[in-house]
Amino acid sequence: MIVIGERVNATRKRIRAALEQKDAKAIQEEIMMQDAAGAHYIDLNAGSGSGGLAQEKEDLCWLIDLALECTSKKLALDAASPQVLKYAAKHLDGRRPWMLNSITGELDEASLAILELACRHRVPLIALAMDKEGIPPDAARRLAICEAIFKEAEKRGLAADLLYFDPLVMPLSTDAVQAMVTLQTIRGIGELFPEARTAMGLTNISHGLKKRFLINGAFLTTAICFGLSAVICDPTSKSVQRAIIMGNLLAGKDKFCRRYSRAVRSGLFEKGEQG
Amino acid sequence: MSKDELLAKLEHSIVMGHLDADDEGFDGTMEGTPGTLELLEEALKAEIEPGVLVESFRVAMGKVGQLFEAEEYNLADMLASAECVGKAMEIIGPALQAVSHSTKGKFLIATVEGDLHDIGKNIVATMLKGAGYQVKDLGIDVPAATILQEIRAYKPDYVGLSALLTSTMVEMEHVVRLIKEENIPGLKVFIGGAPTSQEFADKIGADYYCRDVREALDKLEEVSKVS
Ligand code: B12
Repeated sequence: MIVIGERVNATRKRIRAALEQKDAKAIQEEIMMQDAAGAHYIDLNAGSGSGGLAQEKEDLCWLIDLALECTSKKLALDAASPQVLKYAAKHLDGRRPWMLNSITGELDEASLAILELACRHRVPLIALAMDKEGIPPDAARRLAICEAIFKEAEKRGLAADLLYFDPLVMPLSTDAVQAMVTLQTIRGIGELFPEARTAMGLTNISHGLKKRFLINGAFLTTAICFGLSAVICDPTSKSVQRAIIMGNLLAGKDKFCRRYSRAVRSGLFEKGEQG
Repeated sequence: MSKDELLAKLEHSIVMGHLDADDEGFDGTMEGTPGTLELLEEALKAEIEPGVLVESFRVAMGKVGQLFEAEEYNLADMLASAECVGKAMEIIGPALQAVSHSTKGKFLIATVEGDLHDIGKNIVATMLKGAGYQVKDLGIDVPAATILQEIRAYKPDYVGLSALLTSTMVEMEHVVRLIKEENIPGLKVFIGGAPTSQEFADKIGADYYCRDVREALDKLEEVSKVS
């Protein structure tokens, strides 16, 4: 189970403020706490939506430099614009293993340019199961989009195991069947493209409901049992840590139940209910 | 590394359930360090005797039992250690049998019904084969009726029964009584397993109790001299 730490994202107020004030300490704190919590990748997103591309390029490179200084974890370069990602990739210059986040099934110019970038550097790429019409409400159409992406990636020579399909997660509060739609998409991807991987963002599932950590945890555990390979989330959250342990245990990926037993011994399951 | 150091490491690897270098071990830190299988290979190269190795397995599993009793280990941890010894015996066994002549008599061995423990029984079976006995192993959880049938068909000189649970010691008593009722001249019944004792053997009418495999070999030599 690969954990992509999502905390350094300019859509969060704290991060946006840190970017504006060049508060290196605040950013590095966020990185190091995710590192300590066991993240495999640190996601870096500098797209605040206001500053323009030139600003985003500069900010993302600054985040990269901060990350290189304070962690040895891999990096996920997260932006919508291929120009920003190209610029950042050049700046990173292979000094650390990295991945790209993300393209959509629209396969427009931007997505194709990012796909090209992933091919050229042979790095993992997250691909969202949505197209120009948005996110399909059912699994069948999400899988059809994944198939289109798969074919395009194959044509351009990206190894299947570098593709991380995002099955996409919609709130249960507005459509009660959405957890199952995501789970069926995960399973479908596993059946159709056994070599490809899956990566999903977690917390949208509980949007608009109370005690969100309970829903997030149960959903993540179940998704792992359906074959999820990576999760984009806050790795410092206890409920996420518990859910990963339980998911690996129930999915038969915890030999001699050792990781579960170690988590019990470390007190992971003792410390109150908070997320 | 001296032989003693090597044995201590081997014992530790079994207690930690650390099968080989790919395995993370009980505490999750041992991946990349030599495990039971690598250390066993070294021990065999260093020409440490199988009997000595097997004794260290017994000591290691004893420690595992204590950790289980103290609730530090759970069932899965115990199983991880059991797997280490099981795989190690698969390696030691064939090497021993290559030199055996199998002329010292027939030994039928089984773990009694209700009991799934077989590490000790397998060690005894393997070492007896290595020492020149012809051994037939009926496995674990063997019903009394099967044991009696096999006695009639295989006509062993010795029958060995293993039990590791207080609950299956009762079954052992039952099997010994049935064997004795068959009145087969010369047939000797051996028992073993951690909870059994000389006292228990006397009580249920078994001919010999063996604390470990060394004692089993000594007592067998004794019997064969007498007869
Ligand atoms: C490994 C192990 C397991 C493994 C067994 C795997 C396997 N393939 O064998 C697993 C995890 C499956 C297991 C399960 C259980 N186990 Co368990 N297990 C053990 C443990 C830790 C080690 C046993 C062992 O292999 N020892 C090493 C060998 C080399 O020693 P040995 O068997 O005594 O054999 C030597 C001598 O006794 C003698 N010998 C043995 N048999 C024979 C036969 C003959 C003919 C002769 C001559 C000599 C002889 O020579 C052998 C070699 O020197 C013991 C602890 C202990 N201290 O014994 C608990 C222990 C036996 N288990 C115990 C329990 C409670 C259980 C379970 C009920 C647990 C559960 N809650 O489910 C189950 C029962 C399953 C069943 N129905 O049988 C208890 C028994 C308590 C009791 N008084 O009844 C013990 C004592 C642990 C404890 N301290 O609580 N167990």
